[in-house]
Amino acid sequence: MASTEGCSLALPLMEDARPAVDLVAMVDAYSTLLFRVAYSVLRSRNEAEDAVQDVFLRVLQHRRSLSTVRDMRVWLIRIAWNLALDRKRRKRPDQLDESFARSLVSATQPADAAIEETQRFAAVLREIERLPKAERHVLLLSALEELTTPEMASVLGRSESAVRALLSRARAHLRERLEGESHEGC
Amino acid sequence: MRDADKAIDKLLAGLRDAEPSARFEQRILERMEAGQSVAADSAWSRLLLPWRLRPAIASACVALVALLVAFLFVATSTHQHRRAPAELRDQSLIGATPRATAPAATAQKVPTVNRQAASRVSLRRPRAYNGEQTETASLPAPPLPLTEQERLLLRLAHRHDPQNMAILNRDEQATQSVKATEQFQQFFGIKPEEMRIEIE
Repeated sequence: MASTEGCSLALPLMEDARPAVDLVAMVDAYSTLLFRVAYSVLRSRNEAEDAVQDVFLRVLQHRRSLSTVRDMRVWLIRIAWNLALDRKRRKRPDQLDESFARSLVSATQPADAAIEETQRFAAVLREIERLPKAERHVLLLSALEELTTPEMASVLGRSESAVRALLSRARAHLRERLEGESHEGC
Repeated sequence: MRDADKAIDKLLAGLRDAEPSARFEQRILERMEAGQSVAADSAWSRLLLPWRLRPAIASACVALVALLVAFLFVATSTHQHRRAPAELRDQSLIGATPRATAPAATAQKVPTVNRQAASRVSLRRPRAYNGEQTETASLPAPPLPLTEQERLLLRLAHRHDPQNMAILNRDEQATQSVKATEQFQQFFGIKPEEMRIEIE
């Protein structure tokens, strides 16, 4: 995490009489988490970073109503999630997934094994994209492991039990499809 | 099955372990600072917008006032045009009565239809009048012919009776009274003294 010490961002929140929200501390605390949230959707470092910057610009725009936000963490994750989904609609999924799949393969592997593994990850990503939207979203959010089930439910606007059921179904569907694909390949 | 699960877990771990590039937070803060200055600029521009628009607002106000004045002028002139025929009609009605009583008017013989037409013309004509005519306070109505009934009424009302005319003149009345007394005395042969005694 990059250090933000010495940063002299004169935030307009200080002008208000209300209790000030330290945006510098907020960036320190949440930027990495928000990056991962955006990255789980976009699978591109640059795109995810841009999305996170947009999140904090939104925060700056709504700085006057920050004191009314009950759960800042969930609120920020929801913004990042929605902005990432917006960005993804404008991109072709294959465009991002190819490079991400390559990045997962170890550089020390032999070339033929690396190609095979890259194809395998690309297939997993493709099957994730083919999942129903609700299942896909729950699966991607669960991948972060930093979010609790109530937090995921709050971000997605669903009940906790629905999130658990969707996650279980998503894993089962994905497994079935990947196994079916591997059998067809044999 | 294990292979599939392994691939899924590895892929999800890859998503989870992703790290942003170096100086990521610094770049966020810099962009926020830039966004803040832009927001401040836009706030100033919002404040200054009325000043920028001041000439446009002033010209719009002037145009509005000019329109209002023009509208008032047109409305006033229209009102005057509407009032003029009404005044003419009133004057023609008022002026018709004394002329009708004048003996000279009896000589004019114009059909009734023509009189109505003339009155209609007098109602419609003011738009065609020149400036001098419209500026005069009262425009004399054209002489109107009398109807048959009016002429009959005139004949009944005015006979040039000397007695009736004498009522208006006291001297004439006194003279006539003396004449009448003399005629009475001459007719009945009564002297003035006798007449006085009889009365007593």
